Amino acid sequence: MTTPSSFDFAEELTRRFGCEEGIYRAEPSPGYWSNLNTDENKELMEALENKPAREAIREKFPALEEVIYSLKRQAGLELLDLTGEETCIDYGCMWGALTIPLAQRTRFVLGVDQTMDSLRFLKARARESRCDNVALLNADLKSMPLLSRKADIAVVNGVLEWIPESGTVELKKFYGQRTVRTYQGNPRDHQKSFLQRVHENLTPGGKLYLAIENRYAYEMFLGVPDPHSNLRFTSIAPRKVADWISRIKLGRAYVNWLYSFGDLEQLLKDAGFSAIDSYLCFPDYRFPQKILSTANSLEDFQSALPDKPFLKWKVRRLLENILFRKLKLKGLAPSIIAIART
Amino acid sequence: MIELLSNCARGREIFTYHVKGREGEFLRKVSVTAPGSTLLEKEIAGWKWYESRLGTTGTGSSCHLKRHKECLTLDIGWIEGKKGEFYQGLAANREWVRQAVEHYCRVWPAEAGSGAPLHGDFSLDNLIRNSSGVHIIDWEHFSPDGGCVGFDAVYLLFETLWFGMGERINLEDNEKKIVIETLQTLDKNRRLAEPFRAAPLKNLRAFIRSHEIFWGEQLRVTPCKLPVLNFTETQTDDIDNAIQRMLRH
Repeated sequence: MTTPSSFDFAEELTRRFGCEEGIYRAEPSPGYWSNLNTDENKELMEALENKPAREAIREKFPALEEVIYSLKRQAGLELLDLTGEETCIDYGCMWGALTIPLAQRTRFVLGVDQTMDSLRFLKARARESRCDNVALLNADLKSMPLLSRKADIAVVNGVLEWIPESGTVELKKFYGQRTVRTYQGNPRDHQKSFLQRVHENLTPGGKLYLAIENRYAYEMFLGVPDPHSNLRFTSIAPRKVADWISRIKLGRAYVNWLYSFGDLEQLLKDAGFSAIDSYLCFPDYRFPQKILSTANSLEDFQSALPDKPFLKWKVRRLLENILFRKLKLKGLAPSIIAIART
Repeated sequence: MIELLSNCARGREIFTYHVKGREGEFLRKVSVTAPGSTLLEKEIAGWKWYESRLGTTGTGSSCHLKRHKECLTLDIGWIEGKKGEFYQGLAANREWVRQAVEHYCRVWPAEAGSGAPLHGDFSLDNLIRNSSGVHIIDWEHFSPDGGCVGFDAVYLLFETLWFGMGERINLEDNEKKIVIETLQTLDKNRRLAEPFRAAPLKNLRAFIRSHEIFWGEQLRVTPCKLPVLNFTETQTDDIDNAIQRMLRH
């Protein structure tokens, strides 16, 4: 799958890691994180044997087609001001929502994920998209190898908050479900170590694209459940209180830590990044409709929520216009995208 | 600084950004698909035609198209100013419509019949007004020919009317006045093709429906996004009849 132009990367991967089905595999053996349960993934892999990737997902799990293939997902990549000559690492690439768009815009992309089935899907997808500049590495992000070949771009899209998790996460059995788990260490320390490794794998002047929900998103104050645990108010509550709520309701500690704009910048600085530009992202970082600089005056802000003829949507649009255009409460934006340099 | 202004809005496979940097201030449109790239190619052709009509081509084009890999990027010089509030309807936008139609008469050639250039989305939302006048933006549906003289201006008129009508069936007197004024201005300036004299709304709708080549996917999949197609047949006839009665008087 690799091209001569990406030979440096490919040489190191081949030398250091085993290769199975065209996917490099790092030790120790990684865990599992997927929206699909293991048996569902097995079903998808069987479908992939005689169908193109998109057709397989459409047939087996139609609700995921938009999540994986929507063009809208890549809109934030422009913030990286790409020249087309970059080498990139997409951490937690899953089914390639950003890996493939990056491959279409840059010289080479290494997609890293801990779930082998996600990488098998992405491998088929890359082949069908004629992206021969993609290589895939099956590795646990918490013990991501230090590479001697450095990348110009790192993408951490909706991944940082999951770093403190370990073992198997089958999202449907995890989200809002009681599963007794034990964790070691402080979530922020895990996230910082991961970001330090991301930093170490970048060239001097390399850029990080990091997207994550805002801890203080205005929806969190309205009782919208935390998108990682399905618990209300855990995001905005003090960490100890959130932990206590999570232990009572779900039997496990609260580790999917989100951050405010300021705290995220501090975390990035602590991990070694500098020159951090933060952006307000509406209505969320996965399908962004508006990405605005924190320097934007918001004078012309208009809610990016769909203009549906239902009271709920009208009220939410109105609320967003009041919070952001009138009151300029930038710290309550739904998601954050940060572009940071080494 | 790069900000995302819209993401595949109205079903178009285009990302739109506001870019401020050392090279200046731009509206940037990016596409990575064939349908989106086609729109961007039409857009740059539209801008070049517009600049040639305004006589500003000698000063250097404000648009630049570049491609790297599968990514087509169009940078258009940023135009500061205010947009019309189209959703407030015709009565609230009388002055806007008057200036837009005057600008239309200045830019479009006075040719009769078919073969006129076409903007294809001549909406108040695609007009910017500032101290130097009115500026037309968003040329993604541009065609150098195949249009009908007056089409875009008549489209602007009835689209703005539609947004202000809500549940109403009949035109208010001030709306009728603006419609007549506009049609007379176009006619006086020889920018009104014959079909738009007799039954402007009916023929406007018929023109759109019979020219899938200009609106493509939008016409096939989301015709409701072309607001003038949302008038009912009865409304259309009533409005055209009301215009005819006014013109006879």
